[in-house]
Amino acid sequence: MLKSEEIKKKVVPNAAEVVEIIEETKDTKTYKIFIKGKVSDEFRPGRFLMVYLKGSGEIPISLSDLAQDKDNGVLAILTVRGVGVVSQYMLSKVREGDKIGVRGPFGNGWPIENARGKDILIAGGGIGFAPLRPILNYIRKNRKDFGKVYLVYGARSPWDMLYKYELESYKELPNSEIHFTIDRPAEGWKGEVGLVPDILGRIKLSTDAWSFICGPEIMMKIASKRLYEFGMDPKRIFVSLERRMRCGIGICGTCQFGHYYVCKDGPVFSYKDVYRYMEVEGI
Amino acid sequence: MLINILFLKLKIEGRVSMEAEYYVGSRQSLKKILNELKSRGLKVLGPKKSSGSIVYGEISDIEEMPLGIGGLSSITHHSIKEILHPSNQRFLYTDSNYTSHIPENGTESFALFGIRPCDLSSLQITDLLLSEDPFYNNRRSKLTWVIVEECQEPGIFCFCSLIGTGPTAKADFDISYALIGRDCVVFRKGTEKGEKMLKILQLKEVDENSKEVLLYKQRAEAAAVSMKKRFREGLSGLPEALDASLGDVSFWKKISDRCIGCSNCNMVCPTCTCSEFLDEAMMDGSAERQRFWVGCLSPVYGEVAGTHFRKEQYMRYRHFVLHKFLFPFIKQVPSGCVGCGRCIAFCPMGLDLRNTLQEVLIKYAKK
Repeated sequence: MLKSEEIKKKVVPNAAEVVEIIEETKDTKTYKIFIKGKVSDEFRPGRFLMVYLKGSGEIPISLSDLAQDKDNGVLAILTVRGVGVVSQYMLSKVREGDKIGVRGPFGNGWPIENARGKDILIAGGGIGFAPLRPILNYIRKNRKDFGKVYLVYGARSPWDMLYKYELESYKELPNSEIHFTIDRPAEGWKGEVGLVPDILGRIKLSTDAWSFICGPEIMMKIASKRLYEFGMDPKRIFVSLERRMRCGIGICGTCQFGHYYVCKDGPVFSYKDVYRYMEVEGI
Repeated sequence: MLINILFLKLKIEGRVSMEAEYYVGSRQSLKKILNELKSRGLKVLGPKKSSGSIVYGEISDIEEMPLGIGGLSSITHHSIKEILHPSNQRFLYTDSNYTSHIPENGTESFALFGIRPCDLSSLQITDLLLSEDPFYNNRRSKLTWVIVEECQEPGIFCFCSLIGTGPTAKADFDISYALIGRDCVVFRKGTEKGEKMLKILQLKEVDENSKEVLLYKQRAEAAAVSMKKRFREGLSGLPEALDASLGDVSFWKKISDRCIGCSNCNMVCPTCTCSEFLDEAMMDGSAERQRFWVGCLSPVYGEVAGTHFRKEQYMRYRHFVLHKFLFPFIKQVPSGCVGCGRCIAFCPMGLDLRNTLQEVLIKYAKK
């Protein structure tokens, strides 16, 4: 195929069908979508799709679970919080059976293959847990390939926790330490209270663990720094960054972060590669 | 030996023009070139006079061209970006059934004629920035001839000699020319294709020491020197200085305090290629996506739902400067600025990029 044809394919959305919608919280839903003509190999954890709502706009959404091959296509999972125009439109208007447009997946993804045999730390805050969930489920599927698993997942309140229907099952993962935390105490809450970086400060991690972090940028910055100070190799601490993304393929320029294009060079970066920029506000 | 091999490699890749070879002609010769290009079925595009202004568009007659104006780029709000990466492109069409396709984007083969060396250099940068852009690639593949007019005197906003992009064209052109007198034009071949055309037109071949060529070189040199005046030590050490300045908030605030975020500089910059998309629903259930330029100096640039990663104007101005002078250095690609001076000329607040660079060097260059 001509190079230009390949490029065109990245620019033109495919029609996808919404197979199932799960209400997660009052402002968040998970969509299971079917995309014909794709294979699940491309849908590696940490990559994202550009989701297009016809005439409304297009937004980058991370894959929030492992994709499955089905009927010459792929079932992909996306968790969307209604924050902007397109995401809110999606939450209020898109129903099961509807069509949406998708491009991608784009981006590099989490380097979990390289972390085989190592202890794994997964630290997620808010909607930032969504892109981390496929790592967890990947490890659950390939349990013997990884060492001890630490999970710290924080939300604003118990009502803001995503995937409530499966959170308890994480605790059944052998050789794991699971922490659920909320920002402020709430009635009936049995988990921990405190911000994700604070919880990280409380648990005993092995310094050769590989860390995967996603959440608000300030949380990623503080958490990474804490892990680095704790003695972890900054090349083994990974964060997934957010920026405005319009094209997903590095031509629109709006996702620049320092000299990086988050869509193309990221969204996953090692702390070593971005720590300097993270220290400069508004770079 | 090694140098020869390198030269050969660059020559094969067409990145350097072969040793200079000069021809002398008149304005009439330019007309002949224009006609020759047109007779080959090419659309000829470049700077042209249009109701008191200069725009980039199709040139039908040599009389339309702003010939011999030194520092022309710095006084044109248009650039070749208008031709290769125009704003307001129809980017996508989606029917009511969610089937999408790219709108027809056919362009006939064209030549660029009369563009200045700074704009020529911008091609190298946009080629990198838009390498994955199907629209740009399509237009770029149709660009088959480049005829450059070299400047003999700089405009007041020009600084191409500091960047190294002018006033003499370096590479990637077929023919260059410079007007050295009322009706004397010195031509230089850039490629063999260009040389062939100069021979077809039976221009007078002259050697390097002819009075015309000497005058041409002398003027170009004088232009280059005059642009460097305010930078005694050039721009060496600039990337390192910028790197050191990154976290100096008060410095960047002070330097950018007049910036109002209009993004005129982005719009007129030949290498600012950032774009936004606007999706529009049609009554019949279909939708269209338009793509248009967006500037990083504008307060809406890079805004996401719920937050903004460059909240303050100094951050946006700093990004603009870094994107031109630091990030390319990190990525080991050519400087993102070609020194055309448009951003200075069209800033409503009189911000001068040259002053910014100077201040950065004064405060942060290693002495």
